[in-house]
Order: sequence, then structure tokens, then C-alpha cells
Amino acid sequence: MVYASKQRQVFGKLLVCLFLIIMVLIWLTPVIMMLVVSLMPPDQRAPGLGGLLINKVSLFNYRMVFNDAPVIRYFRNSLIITVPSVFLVVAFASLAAFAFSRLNFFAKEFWYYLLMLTLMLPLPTLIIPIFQINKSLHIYNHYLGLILPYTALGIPFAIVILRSFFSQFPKDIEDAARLDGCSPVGILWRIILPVSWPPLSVVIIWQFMISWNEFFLAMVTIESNDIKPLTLVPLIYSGQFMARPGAMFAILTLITVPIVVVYLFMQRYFVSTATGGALKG
Amino acid sequence: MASVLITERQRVPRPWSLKKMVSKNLGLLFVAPALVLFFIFVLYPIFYVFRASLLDWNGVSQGIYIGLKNYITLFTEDRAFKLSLRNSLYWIFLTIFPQMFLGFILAYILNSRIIGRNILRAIFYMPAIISPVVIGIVWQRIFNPFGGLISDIGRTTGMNFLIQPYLADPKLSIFSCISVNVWRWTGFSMLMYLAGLQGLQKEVMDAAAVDGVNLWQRIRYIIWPMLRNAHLTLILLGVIGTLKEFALVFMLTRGGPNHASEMLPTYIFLKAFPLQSMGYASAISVVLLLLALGLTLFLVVVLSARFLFYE
Amino acid sequence: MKKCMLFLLIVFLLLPMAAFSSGQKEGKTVVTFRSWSPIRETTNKMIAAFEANNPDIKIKATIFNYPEYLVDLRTRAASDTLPDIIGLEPGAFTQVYREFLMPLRDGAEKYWGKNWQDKFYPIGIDQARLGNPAGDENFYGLPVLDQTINLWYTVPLFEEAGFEPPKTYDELLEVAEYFNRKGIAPLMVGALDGWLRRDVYMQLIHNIAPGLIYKAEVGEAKFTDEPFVEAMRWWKRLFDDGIIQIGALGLSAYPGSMELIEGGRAAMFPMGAWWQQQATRPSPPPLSKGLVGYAPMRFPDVTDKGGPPEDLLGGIDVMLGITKSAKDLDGAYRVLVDFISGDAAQALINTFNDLPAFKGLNPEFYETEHQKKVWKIFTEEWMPNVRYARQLVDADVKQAFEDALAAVAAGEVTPEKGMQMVQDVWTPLK
Repeated sequence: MVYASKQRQVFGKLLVCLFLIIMVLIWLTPVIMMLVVSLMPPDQRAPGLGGLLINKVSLFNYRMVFNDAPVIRYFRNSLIITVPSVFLVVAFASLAAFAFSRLNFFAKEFWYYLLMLTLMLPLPTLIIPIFQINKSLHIYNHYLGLILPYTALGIPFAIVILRSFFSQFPKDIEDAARLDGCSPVGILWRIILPVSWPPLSVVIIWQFMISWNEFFLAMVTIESNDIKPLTLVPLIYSGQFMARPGAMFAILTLITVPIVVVYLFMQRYFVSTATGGALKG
Repeated sequence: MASVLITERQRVPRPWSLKKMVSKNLGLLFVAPALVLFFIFVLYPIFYVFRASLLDWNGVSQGIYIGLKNYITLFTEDRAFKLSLRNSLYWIFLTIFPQMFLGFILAYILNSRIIGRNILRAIFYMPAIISPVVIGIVWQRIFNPFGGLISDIGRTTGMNFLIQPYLADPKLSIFSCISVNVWRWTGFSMLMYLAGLQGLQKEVMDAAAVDGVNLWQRIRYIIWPMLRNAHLTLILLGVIGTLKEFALVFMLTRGGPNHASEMLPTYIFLKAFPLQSMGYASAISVVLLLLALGLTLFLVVVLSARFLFYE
Repeated sequence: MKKCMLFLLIVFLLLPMAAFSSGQKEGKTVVTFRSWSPIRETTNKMIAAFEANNPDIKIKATIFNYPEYLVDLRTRAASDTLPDIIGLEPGAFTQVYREFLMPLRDGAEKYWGKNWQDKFYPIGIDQARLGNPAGDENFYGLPVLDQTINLWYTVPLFEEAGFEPPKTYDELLEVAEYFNRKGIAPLMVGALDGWLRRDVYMQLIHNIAPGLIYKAEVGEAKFTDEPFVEAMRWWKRLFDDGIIQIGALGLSAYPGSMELIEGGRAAMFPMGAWWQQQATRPSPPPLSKGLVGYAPMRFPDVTDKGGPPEDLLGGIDVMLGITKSAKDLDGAYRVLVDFISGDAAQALINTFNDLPAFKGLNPEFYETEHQKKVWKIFTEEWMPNVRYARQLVDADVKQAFEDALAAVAAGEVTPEKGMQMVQDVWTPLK
């Protein structure tokens, strides 16, 4: 009996391991493929297995990208666009999510679902009207012409995530704080936000990704080369890089790396058991 | 200032005072920044497409008002539109549920103390943060039956059934896109379930463990039902996300062959830009918006989905 | 730590406000230019050549991929922010933007003289006005580059096998059988892109019934007529006989098919004169270096005439128009003229980007004799023989063609039904 259950446990563990290995293989292969093709030597084309069998590792493509495009400048521009939009989304969505979850006000549900309309507009629909707005606000060809729309488009999802976390926050702690003379802003800032790293980190990653990866709006809104973001590089240099798949993949890898770094940095906040426990207790 | 208002309200309950009005609607002030941006960058585009959808308009010259004619054409004689509706339906069922299912399993496994779980979480979440442009180009290389990864594996191992025109066959292309999409978003489901699992009261889990119920029963009858909010929210986001899926399909198949993998946004793009019918494209946008709105209302009202992940 | 983060955040929030770039003036005239062609590094060479002779003018150019360029131009036209000079395709594309474009006839006469039209290849002059309203003989764009569409073959593969490029369908079948056995695509088509599907069909219908498709465009023939259906059947046969590689409909022309072609996995492939530029791209692979690995050929004859037709399809690759919002009209003209026939044009042609629309321009430097030979074939034998257009006028008919070709190739519909799909969207041209 004991023996049998032990056997079953081992069998179960093996099954879990097998499952994980298969999943990891499927999940990693495309990423590895991107890396491998970017390391393809310049005179090789169309290696076997969809590009995995390169005959030697070469940094040629990266050198070429860095030589031909002012990557650092584009990188800086991307940061100047992405970081403020992340910050604004976190700030505005926290305020709104707090109101939606903890306060009562006129037509609360209506406003909430009105904001959710944002989630339902596909990008091709938005490009031309947003461009026109940028022009009339005189933020065309300016970082703000991207920061503000990205913020507007990112807020609703952030509200969803944050509100969902805020509303599980125990009422008694909030009441106690209020009795101590704490203002709603104070409650949000001093009591709720400090323990809200799990949802905040999700929002930060999410918004960083959205702002960092977007290129359609950036393409039409930003005119001058000095302020273009990194995602436009494959478009700007398409003639050059399309002819060299390796270079194309090198630049795609370069675009991907910062998001992965941000993710790895934020990951430890995703699930923080310590605060969760404190809250529940 | 705000705190004063609140405390006063508590002390002096006067039914009709201005102060009370203000303090009662203080929340509106909190929502204001989000709403302002919404009014500028979202509401205007909505009005813009509503107006444009009533025009015969190439997007450049003067449009001609034609009433509902775009909508009538759309619903009576547009095959590509019907295909994109059908594909959205496939997409909703075939991405959301596998994604939830896989995401849940991964979350459950990676919620335990397993070696390297942070790395594993990162691996599974990675596709969700990579640009769809990258994903499209890479998966094209994986799918291509001439020199692509899957087919080359098929050739070298003798499993010739793996050599398929995954993106080129109209019967397969939408499902190929869908499987890439599952690959892309499973990590996101996993993350949300992880959050949900963390939110579950530890006592419940422990109690369940003690009562001698087996693993399957514990998951099926205790944990899974307790994550109801997370399920519904993932469905809700999945439905909305499906309807506005653009970049992935555009990069993988451009909606082809012959619209076989067309989605509403790729069709909007095709009509608006290469085919120069901005009015018609706007009509599709309006239909998409109404559809998303309708489905959201259905999920919210009938199933009481609430955009919540935590209990 | 916290303070540090806060500081960084504030810096980041202030940066975008500070970086308001008002643009450099320096008393120069700025001429803006947006297009999808020529590719960026070529455009930069052209600009350098122009600015060296014209220190008073500065050109600001933005080059996109074609689909993104469409979005960009549409957005700008809808918001009154068009640049001074734009890249155009003849036909529907140009007609949509006509109201924003300057008529160029008088200016052309001023810069090139009374007989300026003779200085261009005739097909370019014809096509530049494609789709103009009846009676309007003016030019809203002038061609910079012309092109042909044809096939190319990979020379070493054919030499190794001892084959000549096929001239008839039977020869094509024989070649295909051989290459299929070797795991090489006989005819590599990146048929995910509609334009490439259309290019192949255009060559088939040109082979079967020269000129008929242009009659159908204006309503003098029907797309359901037998020759169109027959061309469609041949298109389908190319797939069924294993001539076009498996999964072609899922492979992009660029970078997909290009990479496989340069990797030596394609015996033949449909591209036009523009394929010559592969040789001048940075660090080309062995096959493209000096263009040694590739030679152009005509599409094999599928009728019983015994050989391909003498003439080829082609026309304008890209033309340039000056918008009405151009601030300095004279400056814009100077740029336009130099791009078409001056030093910038020479810089352009030196890259083999495509064939010149203006007669008499030749590259100043050839890497190999073979490259020179290919250039001569295009400019001296083929280009003067281009009578019919590669492009179709109506955007909807074009799209219907591309859909029908995909549907027939995939076996979804019969060739008859496919051509019916095209005829169904046809309307008399406005």
C-alpha cells in the first residue's frame, strides 16, 4: 500500500517533469531561433531546420546594425517614450482603480465600462484619428504625441488589474486609517500601494511592453529621425536589413532584450507571499 | 483637504449640502485624469469612425454620404467579413480555453516549490512580451514546409505528416495562427492564475489537503471553482483581445490565403489602406466595437464577470 | 534608493518636454520627401549627390516599407501634412492623390526642353498618366525607375545539371522533376505576397492572350472569357505539377523567399529587373556577389508557339509627384529633376536599384562582366520591348485577382469560379 502510493508519487513527478520539458522546448525554440539566426555568419543563407543549423557563430550582424544605425540614440528615444507612459499609466490607473474599488460616486459603473471601450478598438481604426488629434494639440512629431496616446490606451487594462487587487484589500484597515485622519489619497499612497507590488509589477511590465513594441503610431507621428524609437529601426532600414535576415534578427533581438530585462527585474514582485499573508491575517 | 471633507461628512450628516455632493463624488476627481485622456484619444476616434462609416470615402477626397449602405453591403454580400467573423469565433474558443487550461496547469505546478520556478515562469511568460513582429517572422520560418523547422524535423525523422503547408492551406492557416496565439498568451494566463492562487486562503488549501481528498478532487472541486473570477476575467479579456487581434495575423498570413485567416482588424486594415475604402473600413470598425460591447455586456450581466483576478 | 528612483523618474518625465526639436534651419530650403522606393541607403546616396551640387537645399527623406508607406501617406493626406515630394505608383494610387498633386508638364518642359518626353522610355510616359480622367493629358507624377517582370534562374544549379533555361512547358516539367529530386524548389514563389502571385499570372495571360487583360479592365472583354480561365488553369498546374514549391502561399517574398533563393534552394524564381540590386546590398552572399549566380530568363511558353513571346511586361517601378503643399516649388522641381536625370539619378542607377526611366543612364561601375551583360539585356533588349503594364488600374480588381489566385492555388475554387470572383468586383472605371 505504502509502496504503491510512493510509486504513484514518483510516477506523478516524472509526468510533471516530462510535461514541463515538452512545454519548455516548445516555448523556447522560437526564442532560440531568433538568437541563432541573429548570430548567422554573413555569407550563409537559409540554414537547415528553419535557420537553426548555422555553420559558425558570428557577431557580424550586430556589428553591422550598430554601424549602420544609431542604435543607442533610438534606444534612448524608446526609453523617453516608454518610461513616462508607464509612470503615467501607473499613476492615473492607481487613482482611478482606487476610486472604482473603494469610493462611491455618481455613475461609477457607467464610467468604468465607458473606459473599457478603449479595450475594444483595434489599432488600424485608431491611427488616423489619433494622428489628427496630435496635430491639433501640436504634439505631432513630438514624444508627447506617443506618450499620451499610449497612456490613454494602456490605462483601462491597468485599472482592471489594479482594481481587482484593491477590492480584496480588507475594509477594516482602511477604516482604521480613515479614523486616524488619513485622506483617501493618503490611504492609497501610504497603505494600499506599498503592498500592491504584485499587480503594479504586472501593470508596469504590460505597459512597458505595449509602449516599447508599438510602431504603427510611432511611424506616422514621429517625423524627425532624432526622436524615433527603436521599433522603427526595422522599418527605416528595411531595405538594408531585409536583405540580410541575420541583421534583421539582430535588431529584433536588440528590441526584445530590454523588455526581458525589465521583466526579470520586476518578476520578484509578481507574487509576494509576505504581503499577501499580512493582508489575509 | 479631502480628509477634512470626509470627516465632516461623517460628523454632520446634512442631506442637501454642496459639500456633501463634492465629497460624495470625490471619486470622480480620482478618475478624472483617466477620463480626460479617454475623451481625447478614444472617444474622438469612436466618433470619427461612426461618422466615416456612413460615407463612401477613400479617406482622401471629399466623402459622399450614403447612409447605411456600407453596413448593408457588409452583411449581405461580403464573404471576407463572414470569414473573419467565423475566424473570430474559432479564435475565441480555441485560444481562450486551451490557454486557460495550460495556464492553470503551469500556474499550479509553478506555485509549488519546484527547482528553477522563477526561470520557468520567465520562459513561459516571455512570448507575451515579445513584439508580434518578431513572433510573426520567427513562426513563418517554423511553419514553412520548404526548409522550415517543423517540416525539416519531419523529413529527418521520417514523420512525413509533419510536412504541411501550415500557413498556405486555407483549411489550416487560421488554426496555425491560433496555435501561435496560444503559445503567445498562455504565460499571461499562468501569471493571472498564479496571482489568483496566491490570493486563495491558505487555510482552505491546507484543510483540503488534510481531509484526504486526492489531488484531482482538490483541484476540480475546491481550487478551480474558487478561481471563478480569474476564469471569467480571462475569458472577458480573451474575447475582447480576439476581436482586436491584428499584428500577429498580419505578420503571419496577411489574413490569407484568400481571407481564410482574416480577422476583423486585418480586414479593416486591408480595406482602409491598400483598398482605399475608408468608409467601408470604418463600418467594420463600428461592427467590431458593437460586437465587443455586446459580448462584454453578455459576460458581465449573464455570467457576472467582473474583471477581477483575486477573490 | 527610493529617492534615486524618484529622481530618475522626474528626469524621464521632463525629458520629453525638453526635447522639443524645432528643426535645423540655417537659411536653407528644406525639401521633404517620403516614399517606399528607392530603398533608404540608396536614397541617402542620391541626397548626398544632390546636396553636393545644391548647397542651398536640404532634403529630408523618409523611406518605409510599402504597406506602412500607404498608411503614412493616407494619414498625412487626411491631415494636411503631406511632404513636398511623394513616391507614387501609376494608376489607382496616383489618381487617389491627384487632387493634392501639381501638374508637371510645364515644369518638365522648362527643365528638359520641348521634346522632353522623348528622353524617357515610352512605356513610362504612357503609364504615368494611367487612369487620368478623359481629356486630362497632364502628368501628376514622373517616372524615376522602370522595370520588367520576368523569371531568374540560378546559374550554378543549371550548369551543374547541364540544363538550359526552359523555353516551353515541357522543358520546364523536365527541369522541375530533376530539381525536385534534389530538394531544390524548381520555381520558388513567395506567394504570401499578392503582388508576386499577380506577377506570375500576368506573365501567363500575356503569353496566352497578349493585351487582353487591359481590354477587360475597360470593359471590352470579360474576365470570365476563356483565355483568362486558361491562364488560371496554368497557374493551378504550376502547383499541381510540383513546379512551384510546397507551401508557397505561406512564404513571404521578402525576406522569406529571398533568403532561400540566396541560399541556393531555388532553381528559378519570378522577380523583375530589381533583383539586380541584390549584388550591391551590403556583404552579399556568394550567389549574389557580382550577380554571378543569377541570370534573367523569359517565362516559358505554355501555348504551342514553341517559345516565350518577344515582349515583356513591365512599366514604372516608382514615380515622383510634387504636392500642392510644397513650400518652395522651384526647389522641389530641382530635386525631382535631379532624382530623375541628374547626379542623384546616376547615384541611384549605380546601385542597380532598378532600370532608369530616363534614357541613357548606365551604372558607372560593374563588378563582373556577367553583371554588365545582364544590365545590357535589360536596358537594350528587353526594356525597349515593354509594351504592356505589369500593374492593373483598379485596386479592387487587383485585390480580387490576388484572392482568386490564392483560392485557385489552394484548390478552394475552380479556375472558372476564380475568374468569376474577379469579374464580380469589376465596375466601369470612374
